[in-house]
Amino acid sequence: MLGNRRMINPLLGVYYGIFTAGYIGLGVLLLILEYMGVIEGHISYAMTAVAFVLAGIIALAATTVTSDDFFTSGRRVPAGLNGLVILVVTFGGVGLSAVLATLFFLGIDGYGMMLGMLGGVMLSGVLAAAFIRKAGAYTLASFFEIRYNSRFAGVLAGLALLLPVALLALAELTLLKTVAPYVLGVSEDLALGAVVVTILVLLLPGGVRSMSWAQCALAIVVLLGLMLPLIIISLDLTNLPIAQMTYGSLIEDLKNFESVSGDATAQPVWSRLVAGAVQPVQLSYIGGERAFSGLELISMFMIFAAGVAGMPALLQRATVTFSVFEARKSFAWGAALIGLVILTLPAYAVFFRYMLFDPQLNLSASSLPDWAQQLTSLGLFQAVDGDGNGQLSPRELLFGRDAVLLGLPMIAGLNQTFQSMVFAGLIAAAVGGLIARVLGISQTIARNLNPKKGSLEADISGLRSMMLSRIIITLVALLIGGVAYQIEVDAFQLFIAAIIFSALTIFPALILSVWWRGMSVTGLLFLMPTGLCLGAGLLVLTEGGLALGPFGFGLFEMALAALLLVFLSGWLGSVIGPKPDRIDLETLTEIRTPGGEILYDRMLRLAMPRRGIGGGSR
Amino acid sequence: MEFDRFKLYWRVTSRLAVTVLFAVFLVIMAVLVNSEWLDGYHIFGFPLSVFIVGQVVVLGAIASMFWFIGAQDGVDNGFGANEEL
Repeated sequence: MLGNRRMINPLLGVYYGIFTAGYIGLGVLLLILEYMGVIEGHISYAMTAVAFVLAGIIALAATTVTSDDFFTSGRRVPAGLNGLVILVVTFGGVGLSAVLATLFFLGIDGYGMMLGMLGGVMLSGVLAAAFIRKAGAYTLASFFEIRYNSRFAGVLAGLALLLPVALLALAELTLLKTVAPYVLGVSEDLALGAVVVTILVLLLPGGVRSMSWAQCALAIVVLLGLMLPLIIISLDLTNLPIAQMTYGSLIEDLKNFESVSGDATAQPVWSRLVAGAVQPVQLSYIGGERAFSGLELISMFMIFAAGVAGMPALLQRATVTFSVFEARKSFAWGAALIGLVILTLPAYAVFFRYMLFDPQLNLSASSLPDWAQQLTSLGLFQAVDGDGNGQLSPRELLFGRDAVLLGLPMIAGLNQTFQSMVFAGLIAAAVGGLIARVLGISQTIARNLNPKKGSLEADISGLRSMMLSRIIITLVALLIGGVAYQIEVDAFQLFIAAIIFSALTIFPALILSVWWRGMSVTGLLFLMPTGLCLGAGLLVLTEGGLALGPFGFGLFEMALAALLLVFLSGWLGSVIGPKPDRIDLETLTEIRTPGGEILYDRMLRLAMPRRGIGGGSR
Repeated sequence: MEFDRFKLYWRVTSRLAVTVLFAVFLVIMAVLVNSEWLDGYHIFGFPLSVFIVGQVVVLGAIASMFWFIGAQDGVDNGFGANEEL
C-alpha cells in the first residue's frame, strides 16, 4: 500500500476538457432544438441528468480495491483539480445560494460573508494544509490522534466535528429537497430518494477517489452554470461579455433607480434572510442605510473565515495531494477559483437588481409575467400590491433567498436551456458538498468512533476496512436522507449553525495543535466541549441568528468573543494539565517539517509486519 | 534537520504565514468597514468602494496566496526541509 505510488495521470486534463466540451455541446444542442421548437418543458431534467450521469460514470470508472486509493485517492490529485474540489466543498449549494442572497438583499454589507469564505480557504491553506498533509491521516479526527499520540484525542475530535459536518449535510439535503422536485418534476420524497442513490453511486465505487473525480466534474458544471448565462445577460445589458468587469458600470444607474422607487417597509433584513422568508429589496446596493455596523461586519468576516477554515471536508483535501507543496498549491488554486466565483456573484446581484428596479419593468398585479409565475411555483416570489393601484413597484415584489440565482435567467428572459444550466449548477454544488460531508461522517465513525479498533488498526486490514467504510457510507446516506425527510428546518440556519460550531471547536483546536507546542490533550479536552457549549448557547440566545443576543450584540459579534474564550480554554487546560511529553513534541516537530515520510503511512508500515498481517491492502 | 536549525526554520515559517494573513485580513477588514466614504469616487465605471471590496481585495488575496506558496517553498528549500522520502 505504501510503496509503488503511482504518478499523476497526465491525461486528466484532457478527460475533463472532453467533459467540459461535451457539457457545453449538449447545451448548444438543446438550445438549437429549443429554437426549433422540437423540445420544451423539462430541459432542466436533461441538463441535470446528463451532468450526474457523466459524474456517475466518472465515479464508477474510479472504482478501486486499494485502500490508499479509497481513503486518499492515492495521494495523487493534481493541485488544479483539487482546487476545483475545494471550490465545490467550500461553497456547496447552500453557501453559494446564501452568499448570493446576502449580496442581493444587503448590498455591499454582503461582502463580509463572501470574503469570509475566501479568507477561510486562505487560513486553512496557510495555517493547516501542509501539516495535515504531512500527518497524512485519513480523517481530521485521526490527525488529532496522530498529533497527540492518543486515541482519546481522536475520539474527542471525532465527536466534536460530527456536529458541524452533519449540519452541513442536512443543509445541503434541505436545499435539494426544495429545488430538486422542481427540476426533476417529481415529488419531494422521490427527489430525496434520487439524491440518496446519487450519493451512493458517487461514493461507494472508490471512496475518496471516486468522490474527488466526480466532484471535479460537478465543479465544472457549477462554474459553467454560473458563467455562461451571465455572459449572455452581460452582453445584453452592457454590450460586453465579461460580467465580472462590467457590472460596475450599472451601479450608478441602479442607485438612481433605487432612489426613485421610494422607501420600503423597514423590516429586519438579515433576520428575514436567515429565516428564509420572502422579502422586498429594502437596502440600497451602495450608500444609504447599512445592515451591519463595522464591528458586526468584521465579526461576520472573521467567524466565516474561521468556520470555513475548520471545515473537515475542506481540510481533508490536503491529504490527497502528492506532496506538501502540492497541498499548499491546491489551496491557492482553490482560493483562485473561489475568487473567480466571488468576482462573479456581485454581477448576479447587480444585474438582478438593475432589471428589477428598471422603470421599464412596469408590472401589473393582475397579470404576472412568466418569470414571476415560475418563481412563485418554487415558493420564491410573492407580489403584494400594497397601495392597491394595480401596478407593482419594485418594493412590492418579495423574493425568497434562492430566487436570485435561479431567477436571474428567468427575469432576463433567457432560454430554458440557460435556466436549466443554472439549476444544474446549483444542484451540482449541493451534491458536491453533500457527498464530501457524508464521506467525512462515515470515515469518522468507521475509524475514530469505532469502539473495537482505532484508525491504525482499522487500516491494517485494507479490504475489510474498505468494506466497513462502504457499509457505513450506505447507512449514513440513508440516515441523513431519512432525517432530512422528517425535519423542516431552513437550510441557511443549518449552514450558519455549522459555521459557528466549526469556528468554535475545530478551528481553534487545529490552530493550537499545530502552532503551539504547549498544547496538550487536556487542552483539547477543555477546548472542544467549551466550543460546543458556547456555540450551542449562542445559537439558543440568538434563536439561530434570527434575533439579537444580550446587550444588543448579534450572533457573529458574540461568536467572535466566544472564539477568544475557546482559545483561552485550550490554553488553560494545557497549562493546568500534564505537559506534552517528549514523543508528543517530536511528533509535532515532524508534522511541522514538510520533508520526510508521511507520518500515518510510516505508522502503518511499521504496524503491519508486527501484527503479522502481510500483503497490505492491495 | 538539527533542532536549532529547525527552530530557526520554524521562526521564519511562522513569520511568513503571519505576515501574509495579517496583511490580507487587515486590508479586507479595513476596506469592509470604511467602504462608504469611497462611494463618491469611480474607477473603470465602478464605485471605488465596490471596486476595492469586490475586485482589488479578491485579486490581491489570490495573488498573496500564490506568492506565499512560492516564498514558503523557497524557505523549505533554503533550510533543506522539503526532502521527500
